[in-house]
Amino acid sequence: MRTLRGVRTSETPLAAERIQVLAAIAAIEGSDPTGPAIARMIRPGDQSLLYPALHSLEAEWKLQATWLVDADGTLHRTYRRRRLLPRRPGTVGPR
Amino acid sequence: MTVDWLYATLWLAGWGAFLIAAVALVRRGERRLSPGPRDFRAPISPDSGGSDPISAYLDRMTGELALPAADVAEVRAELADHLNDSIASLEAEGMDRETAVREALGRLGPPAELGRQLRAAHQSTRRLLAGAGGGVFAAGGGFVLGSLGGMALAIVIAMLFAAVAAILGRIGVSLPDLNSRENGYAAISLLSSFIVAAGAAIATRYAVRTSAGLSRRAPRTVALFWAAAAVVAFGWWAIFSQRGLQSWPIVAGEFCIPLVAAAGALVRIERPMPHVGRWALAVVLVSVIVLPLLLFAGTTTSGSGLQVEPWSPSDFNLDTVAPAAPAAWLPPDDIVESGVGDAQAGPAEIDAQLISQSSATSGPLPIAAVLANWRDLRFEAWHSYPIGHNSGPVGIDTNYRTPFTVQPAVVEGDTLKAEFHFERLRDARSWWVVLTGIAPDGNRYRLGDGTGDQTDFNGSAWDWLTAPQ
Repeated sequence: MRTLRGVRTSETPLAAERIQVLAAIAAIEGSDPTGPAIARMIRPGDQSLLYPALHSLEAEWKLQATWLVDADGTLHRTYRRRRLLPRRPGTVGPR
Repeated sequence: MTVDWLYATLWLAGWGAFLIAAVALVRRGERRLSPGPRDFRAPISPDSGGSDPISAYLDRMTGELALPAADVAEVRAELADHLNDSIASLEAEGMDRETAVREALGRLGPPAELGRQLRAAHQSTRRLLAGAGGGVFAAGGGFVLGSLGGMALAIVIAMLFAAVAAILGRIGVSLPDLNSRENGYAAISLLSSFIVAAGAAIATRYAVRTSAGLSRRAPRTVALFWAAAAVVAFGWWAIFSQRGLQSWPIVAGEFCIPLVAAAGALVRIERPMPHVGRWALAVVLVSVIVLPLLLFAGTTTSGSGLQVEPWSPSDFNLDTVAPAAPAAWLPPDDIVESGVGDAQAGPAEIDAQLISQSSATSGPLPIAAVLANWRDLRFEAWHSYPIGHNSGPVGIDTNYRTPFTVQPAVVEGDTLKAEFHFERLRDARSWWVVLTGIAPDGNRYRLGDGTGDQTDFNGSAWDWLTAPQ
C-alpha cells in the first residue's frame, strides 16, 4: 500500500481524490483555498468526490476548515493543512 | 477532629475540575447539535418550498446526511456557495442560467449519493471513539450534577411535606409515619431513589448529547445505545450492587432508576439541554447547604423521652412459646440467661448461659448441669411486638403460633450458641429468641426468658426479591 503525506492510498476513487486534494492544497501553501478553487485545480469536470474527500480529511485531522468572510460579507469555507499548533485564520484564498 | 487541609483542597479542586471539564465537554457537543448563532448566508437563497432545482438538490442531499444540525447547516451552506461559484463561472463561459445550473448540479453527482458519501466522511472511526469516550466522561459529570440537583429538589419536597403535615397536625389530621420501620422507611427510600434517578437521567442525557455532537451523529441514532447501556449499568447497580436496608418501597424505587435513566436518553432527546444559570446554581446551593443547616439548628431535643415501664415476665407472652421449665430439672437457684450481640443489620449471635442468682459468681456456671436433663436444645425465633416503643404490647406477638425460624443450640465451653440471619429475612424486623428443650417427661419447655431485638433487611434488591419470608 502506498502512502502520500500520511494518507493511505488504496486504489479507490475516493482515496485517489484525497491524494489530489492534499497535493492541490500543498501546492498553494500559504493561502486558504475554498472548495471551488480546489476543484478547479484538480479537474474542471466531475466534482462528486471533492467534498467527501475534503470532509473525510478534515475528520481525520489532516485538514483544518475555517469559515472566513470575504469583502462582500459572504461566508466561505476554506481549507488548509492542519499543523500541530493552531494558526490564526487568514483571508479567503483563491476562489 | 483534625482536618487535612491539603487533602481537602485537592479533593475539592479535583472534583471541581472534573465537573467543569464535563460541563465544557457537554457544551462543546451541544454546539454541534444546534445550528447556533452563526449566520450562514448562503449566496443562493434556497426557495422555502424547494421548488427551484438547487433547493431541491440540497434538500435531497441533506435528507441523506443524518448529521447534527450544525453540520447539516455547514454542509448545506458550503455546497450552496460551491454551486453559486460554479454557476457564475459557467455563465461567464457563455452558458445560459438554466444550463449552467443543470451543469453545476450534474458535476456534483446524484444528491442522495453525495449525502451518503458526506455522512460517511463525517462519521469517522476517530470521531466515534471520541464520542464514546466523551459520552462516558460527560455521563460521570452529569451523574454528579444531576444528583446534586435531585438532592436540592428532594430537600425542598421533604420540607414542603413536613410543612403540610404540621399544618394538618394542628387541625387534628394525623398522617401515618412514612418513615417508620413498619412502613418500610418509605419516605427516605423514595427520596433516595429520586436523587439517584435524577442523577441517572441527567447522566444518560449528557452522554447522548455529548457523544452525538462529538461523533457527528444525530442524537436519536445514538440514544438507543446509551439507553441500553444505562439500563444495563444502572440496572445492575440498583438490583445487584446497591446493598443495605431494603423494603418494598425501596426495591420499587431502585427498579425505577434504570427506567428513568433510559427515559433520560430517549424522551425528547432532540431538544437542547436547558441552560443552568446562576440562579439555578444559587437555589441548589441554598437547598443543599443552607436549608439543612437551618433545619439542624432549629431542631430541639426535649430530653430522652424514654419512659421505662415496669414490665413483668407475664407481659412478654412467653407461654406462647412453651411452658416454663419445671424447677426440678434445672439447677437450684440458677437461671438460663440469653443474650445477643449487635444485630441491627448483621447476623444475630444468640448465646445462653447458666447464671447463679444466689452466689456472687460473676461468670457462667458449667452448662453440663443443664445438658444432663435436657435434650434437643434449640433456639426458637418468634415474631415480637415492636421493640423500643414506649407504649403498646411487648414480647412475643400472640398473632403467631409457631416460630419463624429455629436453630439448634451448639455447645461452646459453658455457653449454648446459635447464629440467626434475620438480616436476610424480609419480615423478621422485631424478634424474640427463646431457648427450649425436651425434658425427661417428653414435653418441650422454655429455659429462661430469652432475648429480643430488631433487625432490618440488609442486602441487595435481588436478595430481597429472592429472600424467604
